[in-house]
Amino acid sequence: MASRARRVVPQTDQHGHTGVVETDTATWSPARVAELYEIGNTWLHRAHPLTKLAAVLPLSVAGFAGDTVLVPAIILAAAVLTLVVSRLGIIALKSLRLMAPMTFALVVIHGIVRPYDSEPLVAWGPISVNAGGLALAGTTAARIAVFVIAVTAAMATVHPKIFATALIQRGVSHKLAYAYLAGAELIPEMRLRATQILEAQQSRGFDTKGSLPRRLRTLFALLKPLLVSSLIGVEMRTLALESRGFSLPGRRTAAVAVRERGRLLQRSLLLASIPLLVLAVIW
Amino acid sequence: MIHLSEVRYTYPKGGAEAIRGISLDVSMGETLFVLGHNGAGKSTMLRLFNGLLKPGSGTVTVDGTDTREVRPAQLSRTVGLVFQNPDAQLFRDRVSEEVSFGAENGSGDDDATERHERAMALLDLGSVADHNPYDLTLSWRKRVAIASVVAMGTPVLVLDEPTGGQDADGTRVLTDLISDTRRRGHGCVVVTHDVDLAFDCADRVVVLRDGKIHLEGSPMSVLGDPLLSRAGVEPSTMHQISAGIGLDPPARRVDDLEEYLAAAGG
Amino acid sequence: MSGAGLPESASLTASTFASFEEFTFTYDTASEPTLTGLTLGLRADQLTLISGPSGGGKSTLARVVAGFIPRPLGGSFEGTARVLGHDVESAPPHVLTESVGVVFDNPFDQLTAATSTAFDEVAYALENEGLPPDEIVARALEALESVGLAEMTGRHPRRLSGGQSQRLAIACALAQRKPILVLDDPTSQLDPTGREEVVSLVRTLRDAGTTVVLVAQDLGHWLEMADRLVILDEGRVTADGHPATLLTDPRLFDGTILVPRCVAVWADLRRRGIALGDTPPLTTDQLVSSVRNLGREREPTP
Repeated sequence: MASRARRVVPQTDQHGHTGVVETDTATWSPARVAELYEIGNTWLHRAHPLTKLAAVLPLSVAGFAGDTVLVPAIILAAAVLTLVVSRLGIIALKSLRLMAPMTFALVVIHGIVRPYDSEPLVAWGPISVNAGGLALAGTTAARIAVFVIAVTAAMATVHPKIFATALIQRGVSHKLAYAYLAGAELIPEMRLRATQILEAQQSRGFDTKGSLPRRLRTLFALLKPLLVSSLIGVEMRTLALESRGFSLPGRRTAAVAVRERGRLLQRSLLLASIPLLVLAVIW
Repeated sequence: MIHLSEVRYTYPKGGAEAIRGISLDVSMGETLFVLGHNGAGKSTMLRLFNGLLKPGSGTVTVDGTDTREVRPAQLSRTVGLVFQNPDAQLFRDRVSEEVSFGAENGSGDDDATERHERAMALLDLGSVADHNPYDLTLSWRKRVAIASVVAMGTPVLVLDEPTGGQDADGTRVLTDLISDTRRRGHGCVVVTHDVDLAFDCADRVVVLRDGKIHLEGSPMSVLGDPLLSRAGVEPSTMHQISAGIGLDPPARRVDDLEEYLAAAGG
Repeated sequence: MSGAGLPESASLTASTFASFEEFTFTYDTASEPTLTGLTLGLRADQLTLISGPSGGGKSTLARVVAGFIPRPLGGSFEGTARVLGHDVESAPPHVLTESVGVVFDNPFDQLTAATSTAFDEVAYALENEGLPPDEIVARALEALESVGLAEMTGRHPRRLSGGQSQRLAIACALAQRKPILVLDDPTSQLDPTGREEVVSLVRTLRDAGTTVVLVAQDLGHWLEMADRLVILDEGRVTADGHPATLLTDPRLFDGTILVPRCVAVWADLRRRGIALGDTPPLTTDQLVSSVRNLGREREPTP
């Protein structure tokens, strides 16, 4: 599958002449700041962003087929294998890491609220884990994992800007696209602010250790400036965006368009979810 | 009071060594100015002073205590540090409450009420005592942030770029604060780009360059040093004038210029 | 750019692009007005430097000119304010923001936070204007080059230095071909290197005939290029004129503005009866050469 989404990168040649060079979207990777995005040029990177997004639905629906862990586990294994073979094992790893706390919680919850008849395998105070509960927790976790790995694979292999452009081209509001882009940048930005605040408050006596009330007071002294300084930043940013035509009416263009393709495939993927859903319900 | 001995520091995320062998003392009653361009190591040094960063090698002691052995919050009773962005610390709904937080948390010789009142007066915050800090402009918020640390009454006060964005009134208030700190026999460290402020207020100036002390000495000797430009720092206005007219030793005050011109006339 | 152009207006001289008459403005969140009975005309093709005490109304004035008042920054007002021939109250949406570029003091908070390269940051505004892709690329590259960021097109905006970040904000306005630039204390949070970068860029723009409204606390680096200095205090104009004329006024030395060191020394010597010319030096170099000249004049002749 050849790369179609192209990215214009201005470059200066040895004569000092600045020109525009087209490069592959997937390899275009000036700065890795968006938390999720994995730079690369695999077949998954080259696929149209919306095709990847469309594939999430049938995969997730298929995960509900049967009432045992079998089907979701097979899909999950296939997904992990595909990612590893495609040298994208890191994405599988990230998804599973995301899943770990949830899986643990599921096991615990099923242990508490689902007292099955069978003998408990492990009992720990009010929590007892039995075979039935464990199986149910495992099935639920595997189903969620299918969804998580599909979404992660779709989003980690497309630069946020390209994804937003693809959405806008299909008629999604540019404001929604902005929210997505700003969301991708939010974590590093908040981390920066949080570090500043933690340093400033420690410097005037707030201790991160100590009694619970003491630590609660510290937490408040950290959260309030985080909230307020973010809001001050938001006000300035709102004005800056206004100045850059954020609320202008009319169509948006893109410096680099994502070439339209794969509509049929995307529709087929979405439609394929229907028989899969039927299958999942009756099986 | 603060003692740095052969300190080196590299940030955990890698990159070049930020502090490359600095030895320095900050004494009580002394006003020390730290100059240098961005990336020279000023902000790293600041964080070493109160244990926010621990030296990679060498030692930093505050009042005899190795900063590696205590938490920054404990050192904050000795070294009061105000960063340049006030919005990183303001969290109370009224200016006077924000300042009394510092006073209650502090450790000075006198009681909290006294320290609170003195800080409010020093930063001239009487007129905005009942305002919400966030209704004030950035330069006023900065004064509030500084006041809340001043109210702690720490033996050493460290100010990061205090005059940035300040108006004439704010600048006067801050220079008065620096003089008051000296008068009380406390130590004061000011990190700034404002060379003329250093010229006016410093007892001693340290110029950093690439993580090392490039120049150190009195403002009169350092702020006209020919090597200053290598650290990306301009000479003070008085030194520039003196150099321009060939006045040596350089003029310390306008009086010296007057004298020079009178002599030329006589 | 909008096709709205400049409507006919009797009170508007050809070279005045913004005029305030008895303009009083109170933010919704404030009890006291920020601008009080302000009367002022701002001329095109000039660099107008606005200074005065913190809270004196400088930023608010800048925000009126930039088209942010009374919407989206709400508040009530009396009197009139006209910018580019439009009453700010009744101006069609976007007409002012499309013609006036704005740069704030904080280099990072004014980024869109939705782009991962300097190029995208500049292109973003042009994409919102719906320009064809070729033109977006050409204009963005041209603007980045003219602010000296040609080598930084692929750099993440948050990894730029403060000075580079401010130049990026200026590049956005230039790419949008905005004829008027409002700069609200653009160097107050920069180090000397960053400040020098921005100062020399603004000088270039001003020399090329760009209309600039510049709010600054620290006048030092701007005086030399300013065509006019306006002092705002408590929401009113308290002084207005060419910097060299204005800075002879002793009232300005009582703490109203941060008088640059070179001017303060000049005034101090003048008070002592040593006259170094009738107009104050606007840079340290100017002061040095007048001191040197005076020294030479006074040199006892053999």
